[in-house]
Amino acid sequence: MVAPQPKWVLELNSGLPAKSKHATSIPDPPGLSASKPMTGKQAKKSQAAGRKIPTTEETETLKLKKAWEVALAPAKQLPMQAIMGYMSGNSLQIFSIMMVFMLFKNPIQAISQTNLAFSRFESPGTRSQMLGIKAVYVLMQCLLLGLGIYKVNSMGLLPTTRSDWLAWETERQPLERAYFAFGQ
Amino acid sequence: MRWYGVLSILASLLLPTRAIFADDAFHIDYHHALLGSPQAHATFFHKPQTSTNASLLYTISDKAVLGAVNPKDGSLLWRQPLAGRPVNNASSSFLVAGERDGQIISGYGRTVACWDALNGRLVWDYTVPEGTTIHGLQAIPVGGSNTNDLPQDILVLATPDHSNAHAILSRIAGDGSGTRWEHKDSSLSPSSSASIAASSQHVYYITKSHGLLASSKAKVVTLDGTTGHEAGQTSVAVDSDPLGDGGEYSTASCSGFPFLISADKGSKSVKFSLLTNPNPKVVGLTLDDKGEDIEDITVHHACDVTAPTHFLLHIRGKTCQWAEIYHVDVKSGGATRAYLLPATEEKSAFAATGSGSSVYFTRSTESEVILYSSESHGQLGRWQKTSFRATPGISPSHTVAEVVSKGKASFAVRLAETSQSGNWSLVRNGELLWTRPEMLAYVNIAAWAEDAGPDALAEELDLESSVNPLTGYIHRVKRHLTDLVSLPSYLQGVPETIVKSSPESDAIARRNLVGTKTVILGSRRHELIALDATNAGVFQWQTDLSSHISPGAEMKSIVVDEGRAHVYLSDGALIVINASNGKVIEHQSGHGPLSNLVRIPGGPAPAAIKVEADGTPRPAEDSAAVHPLEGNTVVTISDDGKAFGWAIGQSVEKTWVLEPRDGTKIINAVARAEHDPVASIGKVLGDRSVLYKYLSPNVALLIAESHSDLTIYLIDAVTGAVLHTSTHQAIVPGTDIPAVMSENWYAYSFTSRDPATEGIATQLVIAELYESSIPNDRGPLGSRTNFSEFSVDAGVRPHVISQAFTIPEPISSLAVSQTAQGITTRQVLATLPNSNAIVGIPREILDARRPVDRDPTASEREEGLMRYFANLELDPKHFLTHAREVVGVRKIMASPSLLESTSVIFAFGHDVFGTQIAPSLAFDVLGKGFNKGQLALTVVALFAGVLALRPLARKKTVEGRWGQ
Repeated sequence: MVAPQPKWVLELNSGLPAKSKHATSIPDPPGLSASKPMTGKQAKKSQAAGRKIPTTEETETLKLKKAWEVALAPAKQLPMQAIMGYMSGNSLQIFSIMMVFMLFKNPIQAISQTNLAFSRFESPGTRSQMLGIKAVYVLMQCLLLGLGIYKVNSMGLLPTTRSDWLAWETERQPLERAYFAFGQ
Repeated sequence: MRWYGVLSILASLLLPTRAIFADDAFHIDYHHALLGSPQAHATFFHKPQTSTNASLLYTISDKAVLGAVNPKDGSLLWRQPLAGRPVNNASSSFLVAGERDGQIISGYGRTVACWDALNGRLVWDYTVPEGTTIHGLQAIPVGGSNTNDLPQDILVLATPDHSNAHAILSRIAGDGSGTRWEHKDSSLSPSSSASIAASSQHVYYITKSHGLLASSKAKVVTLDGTTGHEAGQTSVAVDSDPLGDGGEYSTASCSGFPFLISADKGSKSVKFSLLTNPNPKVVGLTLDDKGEDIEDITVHHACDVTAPTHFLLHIRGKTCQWAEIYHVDVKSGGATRAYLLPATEEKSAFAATGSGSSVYFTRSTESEVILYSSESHGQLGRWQKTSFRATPGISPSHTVAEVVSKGKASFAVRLAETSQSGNWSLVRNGELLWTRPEMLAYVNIAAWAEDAGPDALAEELDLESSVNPLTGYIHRVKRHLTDLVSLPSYLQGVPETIVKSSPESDAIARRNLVGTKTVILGSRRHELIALDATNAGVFQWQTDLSSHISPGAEMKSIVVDEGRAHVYLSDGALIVINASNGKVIEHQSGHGPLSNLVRIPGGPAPAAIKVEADGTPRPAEDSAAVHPLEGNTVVTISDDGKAFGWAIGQSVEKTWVLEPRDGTKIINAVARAEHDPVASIGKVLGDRSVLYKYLSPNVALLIAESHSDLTIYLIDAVTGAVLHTSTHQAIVPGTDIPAVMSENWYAYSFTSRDPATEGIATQLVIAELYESSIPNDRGPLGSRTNFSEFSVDAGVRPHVISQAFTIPEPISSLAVSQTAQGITTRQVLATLPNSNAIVGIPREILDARRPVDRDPTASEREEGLMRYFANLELDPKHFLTHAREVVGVRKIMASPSLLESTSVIFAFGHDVFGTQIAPSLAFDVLGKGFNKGQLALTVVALFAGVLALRPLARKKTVEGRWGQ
């Protein structure tokens, strides 16, 4: 047996009550869509359209869409980070060092937490596509990481030039030696 | 263009290099300002001002340096090298002091110069005609009444150098206004001797001819003192041996009773004749017969017109020495013996001092000082010499005295003594006040001694690293436990060291950091001297080798090895000396002359190779048991200016000869120092590519000079290949061409005359050698670890970049700073003889890659390269000698210290100067600005602050919790 519904449920489901005669002259507050009391069939029909529970496919599409947004978010950061990198200069100062540190820390942290970031969108239906999205996400983070590496390189911290390995090169020793009697 | 100069100065101001810090000056450096050995006849006490009673000590040394020394502390007040710079074997020099006028007049070469006695400024000078040399200088005794306020006139005798010139005797006005009269004598030949003497009215000109036609008579021409007219001429019989001052017949000219004195070698009588007599008669003075062969007689007399006419004969016999005092009877022209001073076996030096109406004679021996009056033989005073270094055989060779009479029977005597060992010291009443080490002015060769014996801690550390780690660790723990024993005393000392930071303790702390460096010096006087080069140049020992060195031989090379100093002489002899105390260990006689010495590795010990004057090497006899290693080349330079390469192994073979063009002679050659570490084998450019340095220990720089052309050869000494040549024209003959070579660069300097403008300019050329002109290219040999000079791809010439700079004054010698690992940048050390200074030019300024005619690009600026300016200003900040005047430096030596940042510098030649430099600043030692006390106080204050704030903070926390 179904328990009788409380009053507020009934009121909610029946829509707005019909306006009294003398209330019709009062304009509705701005933004109230149901300017007219819905009655009869028309009301029933429109209610059915607004409350329609989305199908699983729809939610999944939505989830995928959201996941794509999350995956591509690092790419949107890229120009900003590049500008910041450019502005902070290539000298070794606290600001540029912190910026480089963040450029490395954030992507690595994000990559290690990829599954966590996408767990909201995880569902049996999206699982197959999610892999690709995650891959794109990792790729985007790698782009950020690449920006970090570029920055470190332009700061001269990467041993990419010959001079960085100079200390490991040794002097050539001649097999013959000359001694000079040029006096003291 | 002017802006460029200003900019270059500004740019050099920005460089973070200083030669020395202001607070280090006079602390880390030391300087022996030397004169040379004082000459007996040109040394005296003299009051520079009539108003004061204080007198100064004036002398002309045998290196022709005139100087004034404060008798109180021995400090040098001023000095003037009479020949421009100190000279060895200086010709005779004369010094007279003006009476009452504060002037000192010197005569040397062709110049009579008058100096302000107080500050050494030149008042006037007078040059005698060409072809003559000053051979006598005399102040004319003041006679008459109107001359009191005028400077004394000077009598100058100039004798001819060659037969075309005349001897000229002239009287020069004491105010420098020129000659009053001249007396020419064209009959004097260059080989005869001439001397002058003056009394208050007359001037005596004494000549005696030498050679085959020599007569036993001296001609005495008497001239009128005021007009110079000849007043008479006579001849006086003299003996062959003149006894006067400086080997003249006449003496006592300054005393108003000039006389001639002479003796025959070995004879026991002396011929005396007083010149003031109208007809000088010869008096024979018979010396006391002690049964002794007389070796030498010297005359001492007081230099005072008013003093009694007494003189002293100092007689040196074979075994003993004595003195005889004579009184001169001016009326009759005779001299009588007043008394005798006893003969002693100890060597004596005598001095005569006139003081008012009395004359004092001072006898100074090794152990005592005795004062006599000239009147009688009673001793006025006798003092034992105290606080003398207990070195036997240091007897005074000559002495001057100043006697002050304090009341009736009390006297004070100051003696300035020159000892046999070369010290010049002042003895006041027998007590040694100061000593000046004048023998250091004769040093011509030097070597660094090894550091003091191995450190105990270093030995322990070596032991720990050689055994297995566990044993080593146990050993280390044990060592630390034993160290704990000294902890209480260390802790007790800590507050003291913090509170007391006296300069003395700072100096000791610095010495511990820098380490001890001893330098062994060989002098022309055949002495070996050891100085502590890090500790203010303190004396360590001195050894006289003259008994081991045959006459004519000189020291050629000093090699210090295993605590022994090997001194090689020019006659091939070898003397081995204990390097720590100077005792002679061994003496080997010579087997043929040598001009140079080189040591090459061999088994079991390094082999010494002697090089003869023609450049031929031969193994030294003392290393006959040593076999030199095969494959070594010895490079020699012959006296006629050729370079030879010799392969030395079992036999000696000539491998190459480098003969410069006709008329050109190799005059100088330099190579890299034996210890010349290179920290980085390449130069990192602004774009972080590498320009590889051409590093080879086998390159040498040969400097060949013809009349006016200079050619520089850079050679590979093993193959004899010429790697680079540069030629410069219009060299001013006779100027120094110093050169230095280190790492991958060399520098040299020369003075040339611009053919268009006739202007003379000194240039400093710097050249850097690189493997290749292309960055990141190591040449055909690539990164091979070793190579043979004879291999196909080894013969590549280096890429040479050079730049020349014009410097404001000539350089007489060049050197380079040395550090233990070569990490510190190098400084080029240059001696500037014109400003008597040593300057350290940083390599950042003296860089061959400075961009010419354009501003440096960003990457070049990153390298620290500045725009090239042809003028290189020697910044006074880079003068290592700062305020000191370092005269006559011939060689600068640099040696690494225990600190990588610091290089120990030692310079010698005439003056001895030493300092420590940090070309890249003192990066490994706390500066003087570091305040230990402040640091300790800060820590204590912070601790106290924390303690005080703790209850407050706790209260706040508790209240905060309750408030929630």
